[in-house]
Amino acid sequence: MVLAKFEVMLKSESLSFSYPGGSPIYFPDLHCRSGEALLVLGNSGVGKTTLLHLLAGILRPATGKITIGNTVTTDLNSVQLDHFRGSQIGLIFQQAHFLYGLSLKENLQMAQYLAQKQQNNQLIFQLLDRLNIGHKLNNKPSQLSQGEKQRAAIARAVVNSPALLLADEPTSALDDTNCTEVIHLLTEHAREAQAALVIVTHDNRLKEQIDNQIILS
Amino acid sequence: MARPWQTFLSLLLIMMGVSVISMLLQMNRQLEKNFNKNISGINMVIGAKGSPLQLILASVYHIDNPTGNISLQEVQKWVTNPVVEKWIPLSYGDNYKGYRILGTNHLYPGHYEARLAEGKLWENSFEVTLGAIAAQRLNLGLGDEFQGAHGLVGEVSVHKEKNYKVVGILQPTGTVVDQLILTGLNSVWEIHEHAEDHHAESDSVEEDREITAVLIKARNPAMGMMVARSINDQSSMQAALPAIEINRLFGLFAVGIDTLKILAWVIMIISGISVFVSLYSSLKTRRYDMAMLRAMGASPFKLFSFIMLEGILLAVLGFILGILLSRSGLFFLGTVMEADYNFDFSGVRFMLEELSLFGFTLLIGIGAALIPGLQAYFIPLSKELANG
Repeated sequence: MVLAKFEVMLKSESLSFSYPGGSPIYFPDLHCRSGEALLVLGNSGVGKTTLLHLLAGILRPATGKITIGNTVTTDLNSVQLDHFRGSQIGLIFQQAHFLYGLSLKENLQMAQYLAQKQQNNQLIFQLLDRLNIGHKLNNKPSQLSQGEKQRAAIARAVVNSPALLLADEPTSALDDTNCTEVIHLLTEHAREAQAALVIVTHDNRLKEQIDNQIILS
Repeated sequence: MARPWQTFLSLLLIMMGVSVISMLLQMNRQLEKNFNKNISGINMVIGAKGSPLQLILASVYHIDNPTGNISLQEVQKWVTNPVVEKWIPLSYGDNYKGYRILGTNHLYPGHYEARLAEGKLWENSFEVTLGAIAAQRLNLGLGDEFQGAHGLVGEVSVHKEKNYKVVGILQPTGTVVDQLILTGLNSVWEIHEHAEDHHAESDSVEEDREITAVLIKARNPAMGMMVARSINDQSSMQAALPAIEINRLFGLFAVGIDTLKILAWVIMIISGISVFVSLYSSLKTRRYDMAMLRAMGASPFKLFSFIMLEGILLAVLGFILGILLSRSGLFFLGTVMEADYNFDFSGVRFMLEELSLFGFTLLIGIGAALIPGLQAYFIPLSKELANG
């Protein structure tokens, strides 16, 4: 596993994207090793979310190539891409959003189901315990506090042991205490799962916590 | 299920549509089955002039009043025609607690292939043999005696002079015989002579016998029709053909049944629209959920099938509830009809037409879910997540 530390988990080369009728946006190349975190900073409107969606395979780039682990995701067809996203990529958003009819446990089971993985309740219990929301297992997402919701979102993102964790403004809705805690948990879980962690944000509080930084402009 | 009440409404509409259509199908079948079973080979009925349909309903189905009486002597002139294979005289007069006492000969139970459960067929005057249901409902057994009441229903004037005696009980046949009290023609004649004793000086009783109707089975139905025409033209009686009259009756029913059917189909169409509105509007509030599911690895086709499954589930559930409602409705109707109209509603079974009704209900569910399903399929994922 020593070797794995130096393995490049995420690599993007000469990515560009253009919205219909808009001028193309060019993105700097990204590198991120497994277990490491990369902070992508920039003001609103510079295309942070677009970049994140490109990496997640939610949008297709106009040019360029994305490699995650051994897979060139830009070469996958849409069905393969959906499956790859479900099993290899964990997504965290600014507003944690769940399926509100389902309990926390069922939301995590749904993530396992959609990734076509074996249902593993033991794993779900352990994960939620370690994130200190084990007691909310059977609660509906609407009964969780903002901080608890974000921790639950982390649980859902890492439940399938993804190769890549993508977080879009994960802290901007949180106070300082929760912000520090969430970043700590994210980096910790990414390290443990040997996943590459990419956080896009305009939250300057994160600058001091993650060394590896790229600024979009 | 984002909107439980809207879903409930859709379910209710499907259920109503299905149950009305299924009930109409079943009732139509039961009506035809019952009417055709009781005709069973009777080509012609001779009775007093009047409505031919009334004559048929009264003397074949025993659900209407007779048109009047005819002279046995005049009947005998016609039934000697070689076309007539079998003729059965019927004479009404009395009832016991609403069950008709029918004077006839032994050909009548024979015609319906009724077998004796116990005892024997009537021989002497005032001996009766009971149909299975009549015996059971009236709680009468062998050797029991009762007094008949004049007329076909109720107990307005009871014949106190003479008791009927039960000498036999028939096995169930599933025909009108089950609901009748059978006796000899003599019993009917005697009890009414007795009642009119004071003014009938009985000059030539033998020649003056009256009966209510005659059931005729012809050797050749076409020839039978010609005989019927002659009787209608040349005698004071009328001859009615059950097949024709019953077709006419079904023709009358059909108008009502068709109207109800159209109404039921309209309900079905509205239920489809309701399912559509319910899925469509709930999808509006669930667009972000759908995008989430995509982000978590669900393919567009999977979302499409989720929505379709909801539509199909509603259709299947609505169909099952509708069939259950229709069956309980028929059961209730059956108890009423059997008591009042000698109508046997048993043997309700799943019909082929109901299978196609199921197919149609499924189509409505699929059709209603199609547009919302396609909308979920083509959801603009990135835009939806960014708006989150």
